[in-house]
Amino acid sequence: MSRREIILERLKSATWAKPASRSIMSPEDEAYQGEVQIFIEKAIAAGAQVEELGNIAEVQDRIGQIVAEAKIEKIIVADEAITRQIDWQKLQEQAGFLVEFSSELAGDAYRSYVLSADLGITGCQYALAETGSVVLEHSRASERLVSHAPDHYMCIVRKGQILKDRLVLAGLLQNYQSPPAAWTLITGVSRTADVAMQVVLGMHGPRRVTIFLID
Amino acid sequence: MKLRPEDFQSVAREEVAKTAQRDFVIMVAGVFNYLCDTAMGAYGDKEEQDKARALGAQIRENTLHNLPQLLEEFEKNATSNGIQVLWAADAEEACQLVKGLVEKHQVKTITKGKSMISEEIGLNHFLEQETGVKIYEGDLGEFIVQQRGTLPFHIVGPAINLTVQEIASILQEHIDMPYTETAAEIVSYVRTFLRDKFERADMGITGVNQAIASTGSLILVENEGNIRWVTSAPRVHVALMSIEKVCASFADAFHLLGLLTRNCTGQAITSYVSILNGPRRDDEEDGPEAMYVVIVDNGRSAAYQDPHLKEALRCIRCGRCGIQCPIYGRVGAYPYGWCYPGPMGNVIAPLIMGLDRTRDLYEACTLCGGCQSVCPGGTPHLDLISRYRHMKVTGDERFGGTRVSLKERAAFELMNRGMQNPALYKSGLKIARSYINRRSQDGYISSLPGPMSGWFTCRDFPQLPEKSFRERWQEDLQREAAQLAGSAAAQQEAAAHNYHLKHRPR
Repeated sequence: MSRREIILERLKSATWAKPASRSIMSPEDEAYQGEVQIFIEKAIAAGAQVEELGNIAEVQDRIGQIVAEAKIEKIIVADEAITRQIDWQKLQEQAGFLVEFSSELAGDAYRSYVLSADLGITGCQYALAETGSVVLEHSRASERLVSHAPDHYMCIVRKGQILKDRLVLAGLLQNYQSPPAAWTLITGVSRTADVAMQVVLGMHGPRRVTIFLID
Repeated sequence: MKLRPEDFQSVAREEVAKTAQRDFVIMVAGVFNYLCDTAMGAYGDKEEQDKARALGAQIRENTLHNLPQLLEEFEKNATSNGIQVLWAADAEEACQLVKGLVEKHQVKTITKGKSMISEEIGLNHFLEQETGVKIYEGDLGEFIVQQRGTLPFHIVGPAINLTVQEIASILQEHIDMPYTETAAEIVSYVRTFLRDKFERADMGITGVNQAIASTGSLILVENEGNIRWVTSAPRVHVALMSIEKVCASFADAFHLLGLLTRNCTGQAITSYVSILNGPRRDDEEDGPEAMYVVIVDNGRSAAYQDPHLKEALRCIRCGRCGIQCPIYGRVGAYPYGWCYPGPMGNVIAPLIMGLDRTRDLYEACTLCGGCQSVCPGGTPHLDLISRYRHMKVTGDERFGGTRVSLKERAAFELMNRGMQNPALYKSGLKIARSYINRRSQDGYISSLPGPMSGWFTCRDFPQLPEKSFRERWQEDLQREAAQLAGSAAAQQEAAAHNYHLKHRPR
């Protein structure tokens, strides 16, 4: 008998153990959508900066301003429909930074670029009002380190993507037809309190998180 | 790190003398309790919070009922996601399996996410000894205690007992950090130091907070971002999971994680929640090429067979019980001698390390019930701890309990019989009273020979009074009866007098 069989056999031989009915929690249909204001409050409380803007053109302007102010030199962008709407060439001409879509780099070229980028920009799959989180679905178009390696991370969220809570998200993730290799829920800024209970932001992840909220 | 729960008493004496540490830990416990209570308020009033906890307990109960089926379902779905699932009966086997993976993938450097199961099986020490691989803990607190060479002080805050000065000195000594007492500067230095390791590591090792059977997914929660690095950058990811960490669905997992983070750090959610469905897809750059889950039994399936002991597997590792525990608050983590301190260790350690080795752990409990009242998994700490005490004295061989000595058994048997027979109890008490009081000094007894000697090692007992409660009670009853009898006679006399007055001849 293999080790697996021995362990499972031992568990199954427990005389008290009878499979019990599973707990079932399902989201209420009418409460599917999350409130924008709650999302903003929770995201700010978690350390993110949230800017409510009208459209993607305004996002483009704000990125231009922030990049110029912070003297950002290298940007890596997830290759998504929403990030493709930004005129990167125009921004580059204005502010003179390097920008690459993660999907257009491969191997060592990708890795060395993402590890040295100052700013990572992505869209998201969903957002959660309950916690102020953004939910990323990783793929070749949206690599994991784009939102984690750079010091500054920006996420563009459409208000319609905000779900009420985790239970709604659970229902969606449970029924994915072909799930990605990874999802990540990001809530505010990386933090630690391991030095004498003093909360310090920016432990291993981005030190600054900006969320652009558009219609 | 050597696990030595048998040294509980001597280490506790040393730790309790560290008054500054003790006061700090008590203060921290107060802060955490406040944060956790506030976070639980998101569910609503006390009744709603109890409902949320009850649902958590129900999910854990259902999980345990379906455990073998859920593990099989998880294995099937994880395998079809491309994850290789391995099984380990004990700590040694789990370490050997990981060693095999280190060799197979020619790993030189490992970065780790904080994982209690890896502490439980002593993985770092084993791998460093056996393979020479370099291991870096990614969580700041865990990294500090790794440099210091001690056990984690708390499962959430491994270095929470150390002052800024102590942390600065440790890091100065081990990683050449310029001495600073500014927390932000310490964080910044370690961030830079570990960033290089995260980028270059060949293998990432993590634990698992919840595994979802129906989808074969793993969920990991964290605040620092080390787990994101460890699961994104290296080419191999190994996740260690004890058998009870599985659940049926995302809904179950998310409810448990809500309870976990609220009772752990007082947060509705941690900064990062990673949901992993397998190795990176063919065209992806980030994520591991190979992903393994090592399912570790280490004594749990034996406990699972007992309908009462399996309840110890309800724990979701939030650590709230430790914050609540008056013993943990005073002696800290080190006396427990292993990675799960406080009530959590009291209920798990005896099942894994044996009742004899861990006797002081479950005997140091005051049975106040603070842990049980806040446990989001519904762990019946009091029943388990009382049960371990019984199993120990009766010599439960399944879990390494040696029966107490003939002398001790005889003493308790005598007491047992005496207490069931009023006459024996009475005369026994009289003999015991004169025997005990002979050792009294200034109204207190400080020591007794024989099986009761241990009781007096840290406390005195007042001299026994000349009369027992029962004797005084009897005397009171007799006195009252006499008074009643006296007043009844007086009433009778008065009634007779009145009768005579009423019927006297006129």
